[in-house]
Amino acid sequence: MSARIRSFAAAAAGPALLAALVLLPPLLGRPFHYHLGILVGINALLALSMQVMLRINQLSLAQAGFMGLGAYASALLTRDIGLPFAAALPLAGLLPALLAGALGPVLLRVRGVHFVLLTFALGEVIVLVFVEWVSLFGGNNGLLDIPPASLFGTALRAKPAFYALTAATLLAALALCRWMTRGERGMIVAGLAGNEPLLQSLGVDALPHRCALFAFSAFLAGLAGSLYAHYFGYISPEAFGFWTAVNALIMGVLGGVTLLLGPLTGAVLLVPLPELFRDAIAYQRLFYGLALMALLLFLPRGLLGVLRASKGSTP
Amino acid sequence: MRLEIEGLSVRYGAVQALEDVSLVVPSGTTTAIIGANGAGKSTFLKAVAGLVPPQGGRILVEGRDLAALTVEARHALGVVLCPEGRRLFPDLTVHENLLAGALRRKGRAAVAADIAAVYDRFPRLDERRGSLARNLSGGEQQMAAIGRALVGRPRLLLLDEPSLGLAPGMVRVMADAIRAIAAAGVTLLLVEQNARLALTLAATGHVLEAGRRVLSGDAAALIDDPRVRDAYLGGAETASPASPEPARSW
Amino acid sequence: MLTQVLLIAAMSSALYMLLALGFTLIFGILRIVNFAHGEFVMIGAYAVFALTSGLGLGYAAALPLAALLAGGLGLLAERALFRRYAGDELGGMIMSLALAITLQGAAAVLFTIDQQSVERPVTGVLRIGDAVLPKDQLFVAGFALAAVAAFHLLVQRTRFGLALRAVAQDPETLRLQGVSPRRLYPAAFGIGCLLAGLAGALTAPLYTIHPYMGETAILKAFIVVVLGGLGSVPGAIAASVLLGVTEAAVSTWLGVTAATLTSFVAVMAILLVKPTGLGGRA
Repeated sequence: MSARIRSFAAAAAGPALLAALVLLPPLLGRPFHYHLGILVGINALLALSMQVMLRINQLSLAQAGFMGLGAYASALLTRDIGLPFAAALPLAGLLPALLAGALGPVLLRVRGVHFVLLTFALGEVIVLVFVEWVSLFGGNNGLLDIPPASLFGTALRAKPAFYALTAATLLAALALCRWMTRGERGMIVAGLAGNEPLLQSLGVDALPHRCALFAFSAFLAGLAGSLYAHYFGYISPEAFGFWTAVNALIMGVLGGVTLLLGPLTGAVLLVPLPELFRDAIAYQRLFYGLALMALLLFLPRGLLGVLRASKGSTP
Repeated sequence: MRLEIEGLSVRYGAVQALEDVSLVVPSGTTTAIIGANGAGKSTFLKAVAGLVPPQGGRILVEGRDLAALTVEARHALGVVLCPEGRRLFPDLTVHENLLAGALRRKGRAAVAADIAAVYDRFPRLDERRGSLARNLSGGEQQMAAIGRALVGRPRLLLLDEPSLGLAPGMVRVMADAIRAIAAAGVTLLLVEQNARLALTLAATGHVLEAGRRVLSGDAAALIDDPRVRDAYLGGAETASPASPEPARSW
Repeated sequence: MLTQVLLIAAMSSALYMLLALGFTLIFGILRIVNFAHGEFVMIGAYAVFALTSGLGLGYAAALPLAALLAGGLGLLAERALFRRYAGDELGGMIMSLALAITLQGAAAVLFTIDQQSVERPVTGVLRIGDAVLPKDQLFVAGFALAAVAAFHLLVQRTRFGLALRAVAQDPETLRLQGVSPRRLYPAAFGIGCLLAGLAGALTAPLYTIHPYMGETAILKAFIVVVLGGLGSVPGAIAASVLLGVTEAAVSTWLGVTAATLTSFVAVMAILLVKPTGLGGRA
């Protein structure tokens, strides 16, 4: 009996946590809380995109670059070509996905540390192109006057409206990720992470699946970029550099690398952190680094990982 | 150096590699463990060397329980494993590989003398002392591996498959070397798929089957034992390399 | 003109060697990609700044002290943070990122984010024919090359170096020779960071010093190490020369960005053809 209650509680814990997090800004109700919520959502999307690759044991540092591609694409498509936001958002996802899909067959032959270094270089090249191709991307000044997001003819200028858009995008992305890790598809993903010979013996060709996941991860990063561009109305290359990718990685690790809600949890914990240290701006980076080291030392499996472990330890 | 194994059990995940194995290697003797591929022979040596943790049982050297000792500490006691597949450092030269065997030791002169003795025993190694280990032939690699183990000053030498993949002539070179090591007073525990070779070198033999010790006895008697002959000496592939050996002339 | 380009090429090649040898040593021994490596360059530079401007020491005394400080901090970092990640590439990488952030933050707190500079210990130029060679660049190139030579001797000619090479090739077999790989970790990490600190201390008078200067350094170290093959010492040396010469040439005639772009494209191209790098073995 108690076992059934416990398994029900385990099954309900995820959705309950998700609902609580999503409803937090409306419950608190101040514009600043919506603002934080939007930032958390965008960062969680990027962290989720990174997690897709971590699920198959590949750390890609190109995700911030993909996010930048999405941001610039969305900004240029709406501002200069006049496309509606509703069309620009999916295109902002598809463009980096296409790039990842095209580069995937070559990049994904490489594993481990070399893949990390290769994607690091790819990310740097993408940013360098933004900086250097001034006529199209505006160089270091970036792009200004990006029109606000709009759906069905209404501009989502107000923070609650944009928050709803961000939350909906994130929920859709989470649903996609969940779908991806269930059933036969999930078995393949798990096989890609640990046991590729097994997959091959089952007649599954691994490379197309790895490429598809890489493209999917770039798609999510592109969506994050589009949201970012239209929320701030202004973008510049340095927002999509190495440290953006690192922050997303840290969010994922902090929350728990293998858990669906890990990236979101990490984003919820880390995004507001600078706000806490606002009075000590000089110390911000130092505290952030120290907090990270402490977390890595004392909670090596991430916060959710610890919770789950204590839950799972009861027979 | 006397080795006593009491009820040793090792498992890898769900696989029981060794189950309740007990045996004694008396000081100053050569003992052979024979058995088929996957019978647990290499696991046995790895457990003695400290590379795999046992699930049960005790490993005693000169009456001292090794359980708390690391691989490195066992080496310092004189328990030296010459591993399966030679495991030379591929990008070090032959000479550097021999020096690596003595990294634990102090005293340059004594080390140099031991290395010179290895070159005396295996003149071929002396010729190839400047070659990278990755470029050696199988026989040369085995000489270097044994040489490296000897430079570590073993009192109990664990030899894992020294004849594997060697041409008959090279097997004879190894056999001579092993006999010489034993004559110098080193206690030897020899694991071999080549049962005939192992039993001609050893005084005592043990047979492992699926992780259990199924048969033990005087090596000379085991060679004539029909169960051993049928299972381990009859097959053409195990018999051929060692068959030219004059069986009991030493 | 050509002579100046050659001097720049020699200087940056030697500095890249210092950076990349330490980075590749740490990876070869501990299997940790040290993203904080650039921060040890920054530590070396700030140490020179603090010792000369703060304590009034001469540069000749500050240079070795700064390198030793970086090495000592590296040793401590290995003890406190990294040894638990030996063999866990991802975990070690993430810890090194956290350390990089912390060190940048610490530098910003201690020295503010303003750019600092150190007075040049060597000034003037050397004229050979019609070539004009700045003496400070000659000094940096010479000192860095001497340090690389010393490192090479340490690795190739000493028992400690033999143990380092052995553990990089097969740690388990080294244990079977009675030597614990863990006993080599602190020294390897410390030496790697010392070389990085030396690069920072050498370049402190040439460039400006700021808390985020490590990023440029790690970028160069990455390129060199990926080109040369992670963990390969000869590969790192060859790739340093390749990068130093290419950069000096391309940036002289086409500009600095073109040089960076060229090196990135070269890295990608080489990795695609040979994923383990020039000196790497599959």
